[in-house]
Amino acid sequence: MNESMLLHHQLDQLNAAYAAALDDKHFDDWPLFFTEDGHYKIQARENFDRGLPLALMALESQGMMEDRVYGITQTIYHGPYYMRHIISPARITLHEGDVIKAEANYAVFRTKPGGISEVYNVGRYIDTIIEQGGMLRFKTRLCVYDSEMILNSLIYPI
Amino acid sequence: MVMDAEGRHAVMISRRNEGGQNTAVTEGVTSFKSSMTLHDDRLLDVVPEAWWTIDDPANPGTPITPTVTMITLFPSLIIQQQVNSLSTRHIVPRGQGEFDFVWTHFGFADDTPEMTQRRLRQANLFGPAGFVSADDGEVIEFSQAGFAQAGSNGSTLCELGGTGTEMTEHMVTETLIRSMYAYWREVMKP
Repeated sequence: MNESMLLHHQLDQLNAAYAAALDDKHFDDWPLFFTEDGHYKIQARENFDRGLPLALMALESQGMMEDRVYGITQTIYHGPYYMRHIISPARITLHEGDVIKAEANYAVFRTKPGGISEVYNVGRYIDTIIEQGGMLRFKTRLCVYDSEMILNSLIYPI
Repeated sequence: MVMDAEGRHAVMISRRNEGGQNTAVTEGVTSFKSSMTLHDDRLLDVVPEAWWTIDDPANPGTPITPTVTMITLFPSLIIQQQVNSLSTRHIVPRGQGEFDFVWTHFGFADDTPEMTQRRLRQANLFGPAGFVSADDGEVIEFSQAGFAQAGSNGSTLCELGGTGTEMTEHMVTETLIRSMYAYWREVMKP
């Protein structure tokens, strides 16, 4: 019981730190939540449920994530906005050896400076997590979103 | 840039990296980073395909091998090949001042698994989160907010590449959208 509580706590802390990095726009920290060969994908529920491969964003290494950060901060012209992540407690679906599989629901709100807050993207994280260098890192983080209608664009990772 | 005789349909044809050499037109484009390199270049693992080579519509009899072709079909469809990524963008009006923008990505039935993977990887460039296309939607929203300030009788003008509707040899121009609206104005006349 204690071990299970501790692991759930660690996963919730990981998600909280992840959300804080994004919500505070510390984008350079974002790839560090992943293993070097980590995968990050944002995919519409419609495609996920039907087994179709197309994703909104599909990055296959920390390097690709660094390239995305460069795009966010240097090349993709966009109206700035704040994000606010609300993430549910993690639900462990598998724990075998060093590998943890877990899911958590998320809701991301978007607020443009001076504007009202909007529900931006809602879905669930489907994660594979391993311990590396004394911290838990995502080997894969798949964001399956229910809100198939994107509010024009999605610039920052969720 | 190639248009039909009426200026309603067009094809934007270009070759990768060409923009970097035309410093006269890319000067002042702040998002143009000539020295940018990728940490993971699989994103741009481009493999030329035989069907890219076509007869030059602007110069019949001469074959060309563009890496990017975007066909704009009046009034609401774009069919695009951007290196190995193939997709359509479809504008579906929802009423005054609002539309849905529907992206559909596709490949060929006889693509190898590697080519399918390549097309999916290059899909990171397109769609609402795409490196290349995310700001298209953002800029349209900025423009609409700008027009709204002037009210229903207002007008605004953005003279990227002048005010004409002529064909050009580069992409840093809005000549195609001006041509499309010149045609639109004609057909909408009562």
